[in-house]
Amino acid sequence: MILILPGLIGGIGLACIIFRKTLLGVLIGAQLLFLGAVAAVIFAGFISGRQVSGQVSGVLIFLSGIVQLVLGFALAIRMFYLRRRISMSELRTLRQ
Amino acid sequence: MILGFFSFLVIAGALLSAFSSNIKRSILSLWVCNLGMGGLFLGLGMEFLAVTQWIVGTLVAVTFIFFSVMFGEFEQQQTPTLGESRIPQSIIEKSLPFGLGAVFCGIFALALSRVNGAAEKIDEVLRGGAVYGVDLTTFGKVFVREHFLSLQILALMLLLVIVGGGVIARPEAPKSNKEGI
Repeated sequence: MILILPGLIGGIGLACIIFRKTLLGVLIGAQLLFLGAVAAVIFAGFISGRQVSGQVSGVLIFLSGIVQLVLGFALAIRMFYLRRRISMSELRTLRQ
Repeated sequence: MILGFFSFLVIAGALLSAFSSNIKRSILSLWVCNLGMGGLFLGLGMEFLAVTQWIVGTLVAVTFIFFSVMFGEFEQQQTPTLGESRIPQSIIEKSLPFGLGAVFCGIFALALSRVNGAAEKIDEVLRGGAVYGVDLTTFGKVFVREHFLSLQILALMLLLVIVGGGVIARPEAPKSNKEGI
């Protein structure tokens, strides 16, 4: 039952990624997606009695989310330098 | 009951964060969501994860604020979305401070309840009984002994991200005037 919560958070994060038109909004959605994944792993470890493994795996996924966020911000800065906008539709123009 | 309360906060924060048309409310709602998730971890006995979640969640929210100010989105009342927000803005504005207050009250209440029962729990752990949470020593030992490869890959990934992020976010060199002096 408790695993429904991470599924909901991940689904909301996915909807946010689809719903948003700016890169910052997509990064917010990605953070929610990672939060759901972390919670799912940690709660699964808690339910199965393997708390430590679940927490360790959760921390690893958590840090991977931070990595993704840093890369997203770097890309946003690059887009802003080139186009003065961070709209998602401008991403495809970066190859030009 | 308190876990249900934090679950509600997490879901409400996630929904507001995803579907609010104002980036300020989205960022604050994301912060509330992270705080609520930390409260859930605390309620399940994972103090280290709870504190880590709170710290990183706050830092992420502050970073989002910095970048949204830099890109000019922070001052905008409406950020571009595919559809219009159907949540009335007045409800969002009025409920967000209450949400934040509720998070802090819930965390405080949970911490108090855990402190009150801490003596019995410590005795039980020392007798070799049920483990309510994982202490940092055990956590570190398992991290290094069983997940060493994952740790090294993550460290390498962090290094690559630092270098790659610096390359991607480099400032544009000023274009030289080719028409001569």
